[in-house]
Amino acid sequence: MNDELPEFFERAKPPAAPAALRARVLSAVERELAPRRKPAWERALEWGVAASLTLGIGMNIWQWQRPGPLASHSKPAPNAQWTPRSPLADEQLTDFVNKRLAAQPPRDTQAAFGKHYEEVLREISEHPAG
Amino acid sequence: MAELADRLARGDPAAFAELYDACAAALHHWLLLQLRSANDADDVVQETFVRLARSRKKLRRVENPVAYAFTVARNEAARLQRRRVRKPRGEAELPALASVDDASAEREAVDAVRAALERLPKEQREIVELKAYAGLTLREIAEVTSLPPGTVATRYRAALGRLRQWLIKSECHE
Repeated sequence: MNDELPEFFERAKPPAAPAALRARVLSAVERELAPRRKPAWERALEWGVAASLTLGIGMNIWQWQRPGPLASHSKPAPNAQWTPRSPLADEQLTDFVNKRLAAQPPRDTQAAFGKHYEEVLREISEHPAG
Repeated sequence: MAELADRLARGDPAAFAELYDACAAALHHWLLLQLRSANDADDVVQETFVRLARSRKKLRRVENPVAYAFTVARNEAARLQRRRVRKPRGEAELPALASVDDASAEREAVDAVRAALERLPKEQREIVELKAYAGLTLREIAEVTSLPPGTVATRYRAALGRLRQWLIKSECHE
C-alpha cells in the first residue's frame, strides 16, 4: 500500500454520471442559450418610460422657445428704448441740472414753489442730453 | 482547449455537450463525495452548466474549461452547503467506484483508503479528492482552489504521506 496510493487512485475511476442527467443538463443549457424574449408588460413599461421622457424633453424645449409667462420670469425683457449715452452728454446734463437747481425758487407761496420744481423736473427730463 | 473555450463563449450548444462529456463523470463523482447526496450532486452539475452558459462570454479568457467548470461547481456546492444543514461526513453512504469490484479483496483497500481520507484535514482532503477522484492535475487543482501550485503540491504530498502512515498502521493492526 505504501507507494501504491497514486496508482490506486488512478484505478479508482469515477462511475459515469446518471444518463438522464446529461439530457437534463443540456436542455437547461439550451434554454439558457436561447435568446430571451421579454414579457409584454416589461416591453410596454419600457416604451412608456421612453415616451414619457421624450415628451417631457420636447415640452421643455417648446416652453423655452415660445414667449410666455415662464419665459418672461426667467429671462430679462429686452429694453428697446435704452441707448448708450456718451460721457459728453452726461456732463452737459449734469451741468444743466446743477445750474437749474441752484436757481433761487420763488418765496411767495407754496404753490408757486411746487410749480417751480415741477418745471425744473420737466426741463431736466426734456433736456436733449437726457 | 482554447478552441473549445472559444466555441463555448460563442454559445455553441455542441461545445457545452463536449464539455459535459469531458468532465461530467468526474465532476458528478466529486460532488457526490462533497455533498453526500445524488440529488444535490445532480442539481449542482446542472446549476454549474447553466451558470457557465449564462456567463459564457467570460469563457473566452479561460485557459482550461474543465478546471473552470470545477471552480464554478465548487462555489455552487459551497453555496448549497451554506443553505442547507450539511450531513456530517461519514453518516451518509459513500458513492461506489465503478472500476472496483465489490467481491474482490480490493474492496477492503478502497474502504480503508476512504476511511483514511475522512481523517485528513479539509484543505488536504479536497486536494486529494480533486486529484484522485476528479482526475485533475495539480495545476488545475491550483486553479480550482485559487492556491499557488507549490502549496497544492506540498499539501498533496503531505496528505499522501499521512494516508500511507495511517494505512500501514491499520494493516499492522489487522
